[in-house]
Amino acid sequence: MTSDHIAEFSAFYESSKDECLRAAAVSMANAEAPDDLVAEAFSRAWDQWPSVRVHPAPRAWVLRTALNLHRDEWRRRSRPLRLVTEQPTEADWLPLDPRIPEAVEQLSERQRQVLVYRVLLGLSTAETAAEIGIDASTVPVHLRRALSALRTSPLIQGVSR
Amino acid sequence: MNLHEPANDVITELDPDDAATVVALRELLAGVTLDRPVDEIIGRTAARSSRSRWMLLAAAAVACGVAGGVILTGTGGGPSNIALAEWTATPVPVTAGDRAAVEATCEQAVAASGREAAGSRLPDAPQFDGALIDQRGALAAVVRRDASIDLTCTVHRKQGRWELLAATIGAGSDPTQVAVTFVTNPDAVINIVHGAARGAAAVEVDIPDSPTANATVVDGQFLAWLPATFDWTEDPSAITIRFLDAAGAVMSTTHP
Repeated sequence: MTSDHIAEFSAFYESSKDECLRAAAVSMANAEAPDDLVAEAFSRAWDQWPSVRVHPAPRAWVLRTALNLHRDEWRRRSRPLRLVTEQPTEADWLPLDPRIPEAVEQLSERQRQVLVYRVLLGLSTAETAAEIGIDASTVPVHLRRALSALRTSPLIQGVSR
Repeated sequence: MNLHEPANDVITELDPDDAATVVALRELLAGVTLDRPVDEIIGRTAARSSRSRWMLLAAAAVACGVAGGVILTGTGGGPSNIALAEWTATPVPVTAGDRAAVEATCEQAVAASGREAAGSRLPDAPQFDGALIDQRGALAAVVRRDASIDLTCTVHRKQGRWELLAATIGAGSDPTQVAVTFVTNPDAVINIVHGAARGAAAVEVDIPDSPTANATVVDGQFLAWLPATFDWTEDPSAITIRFLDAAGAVMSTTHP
């Protein structure tokens, strides 16, 4: 990697890390440490920076990698019987109201994906459609329905008021 | 490309109620921040590369999109993952001599399996004529798919001879659809991705955890094998396939 690559990746990381973490945290209601998963996903993005930098939506690449890591971790852990229930330590604590992922889980998969990619990751309508594999004209429809459903959540109403 | 900042804020496209909902959601999430310095992120690479990134799994092959497969594996015998050692991002041209030898090795292997495939209505001696070959280093993946039969074969050249690593035989499938095959052998663990090239001049295959592969593209098909850390037939949608025009611009993207 060149110094230009380092500077470019650093700029990408600084401008994207919080959005990627929020998108991941909302997408993984049962993750114990989404920040670790997102940090690892960014690290893998750095591993593959020459290809990730020209990806049509690098933030989506990071999110998908984090979700895959979460799934792999979940699978590994689900194999052996866990005898000890791990309590999250203070270091694991993420300031995320658990009602947010719960509210998002009530949405359909398409609505959830559009919300995450379009609103939380900041992808364009076309990028969102390409990532999900749907027609771009349907993105605003799914988004309107998602936001309409979320608006009924007491959590959102409490903030909007 | 959306490398840094979003191109446009969605709020500008929403009606007031929806915009207010987005603002509220963002306000609720404002405290969720990733407080890791970029040096730590980059530093993880060095730590990870000191460990073995590649798992060796028991001999098996799993095909996604290939029904009724019969699995053959070579004898193996080495403890190292030769797929990792042999892999290159860009395939090497296959010589006529290698093509003939590879096809013969694969045909010999699957012909011997005709009895195992009894009852599956597969031909006794499936032919690899016209199969697509993706060779990287001394390891090649061979795929022939049509409506009547699916054949996948991986071979390794050792001391001038091509030896079978693994092969799958299945009932036919739609070759325009992307098929992902996971192959494990005591010597190699790989994913193989095959499909229609959709008129593209070049095709790139991205699998999380692997560098991008420039696929072999011949006669409207593409094929790439990649060293594996995971059986991506379990989650093929995580694979990204980019179809590029002659200038290298992305024409379209798909996930199996």
